[in-house]
Amino acid sequence: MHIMEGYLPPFWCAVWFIISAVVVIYGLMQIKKATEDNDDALPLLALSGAFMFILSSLKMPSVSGSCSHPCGNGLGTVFFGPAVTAVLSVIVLLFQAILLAHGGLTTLGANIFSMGIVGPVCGYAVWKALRQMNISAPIAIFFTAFVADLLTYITTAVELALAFPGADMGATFATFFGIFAVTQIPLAIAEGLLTTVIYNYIESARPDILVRLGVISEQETGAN
Amino acid sequence: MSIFEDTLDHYTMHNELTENNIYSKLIFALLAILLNLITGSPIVPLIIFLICSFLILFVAKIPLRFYVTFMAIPIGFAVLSGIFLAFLGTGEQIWSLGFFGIGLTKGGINQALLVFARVLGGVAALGFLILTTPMNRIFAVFHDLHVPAIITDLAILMYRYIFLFLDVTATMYNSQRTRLGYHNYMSWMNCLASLAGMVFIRTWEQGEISYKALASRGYNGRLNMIREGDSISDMSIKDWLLIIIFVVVIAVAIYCLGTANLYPV
Repeated sequence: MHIMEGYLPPFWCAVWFIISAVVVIYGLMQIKKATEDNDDALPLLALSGAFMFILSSLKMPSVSGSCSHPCGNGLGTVFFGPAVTAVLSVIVLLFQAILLAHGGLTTLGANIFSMGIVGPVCGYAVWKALRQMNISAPIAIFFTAFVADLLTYITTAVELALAFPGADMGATFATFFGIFAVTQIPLAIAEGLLTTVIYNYIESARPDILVRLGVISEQETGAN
Repeated sequence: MSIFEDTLDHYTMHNELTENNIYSKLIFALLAILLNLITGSPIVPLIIFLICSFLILFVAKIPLRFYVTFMAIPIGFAVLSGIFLAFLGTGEQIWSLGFFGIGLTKGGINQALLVFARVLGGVAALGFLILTTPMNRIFAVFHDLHVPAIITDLAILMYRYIFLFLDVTATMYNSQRTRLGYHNYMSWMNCLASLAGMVFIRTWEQGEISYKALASRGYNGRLNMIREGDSISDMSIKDWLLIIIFVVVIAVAIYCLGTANLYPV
């Protein structure tokens, strides 16, 4: 669920745009570096973006009975790293706004910040930490996707609370977050499970892709 | 999965405004979105909503049925969050929910109405742009605005692949459905995961193939294409006049209405 066109006041639109722009420019520099060395990187990145877009157009059942769609940013950050995921999410969100009217142009900055920056960065930190502790990839990826999804929504709650502080900011945040917690924690768990099953599927079918992306090492594929 | 069959793309290619100068549409839509955002009164966004809906339905001749389904989801969310915002206002409560001290206030109702009107106006203005403008022309604008070539190239390739893989995804989804997939929660999760995993592998293989295809045509990391499109100097005087009239009318409305509220305080 992205913030809609016209929902945020102009001041906050500008703030989120500026914060997001800094990270996205850094991500762009990373991509430029990657594409300079080998020219097959750009088509692959485009395909990953297309995959993220399609993933976000699939319906995912939630335990609470509602339907939602996966964010895909957990999988993205594990496969391509947070900086690249930020740039991809800019284009994915832009396409969602101009192909599906999902999200909006003025709220793009805020949506990039929550879905493209905070979610992937925190997810990536979790992924790295768990892998350092020698936890197997499927379990680590469950927590990565769970954290990335949940933090996306927590950030959205913060953005909304900042824009509409009401009487007491803390209370407003608590209300927004309370609503998100009821609806999003089951969704985050569902996304975690889904991402794990997707990961297992790819690992059993084409482990060489994961090795090339640097997700797992050569030895691990041999062990499985 | 309605998005597979009924994308906006069909309508962007086949409406009365498809061939119009992209800059007229873009400048109008962006100005409408910005003016919509700086208003303090819910009446101005409603005027923008009416103007844009008129343009979409009667000038571009988008079918009413499609426009209603297009607007239904954003409006649904806007209504829900509007109700929610109405309970967050400050000041004297006019109706209390009875717990946590949450209740309806006049300020809250007015804020909810303002946000609801802004979402209506914003989505209609955005809708005007995206329902009448084919994507390839938007890419031409990216190029004119000197957006880094890498973003434009990435977006063009992604746009192409999205439609390729939507076809693949729809085929797989339908075949899973005909084999009794998605019948309960666990089967839904399994089917969805194998669908997504398979689409990822397909995208990867397609990526390797399309790189070879590009490379065999002299690809060296940059897409060099002939860019043809409208330029801002081709805009007709009529378009400029209409945009100026629109801005003046809305600006006067913003000035006169100030922060007038629909619900009296």
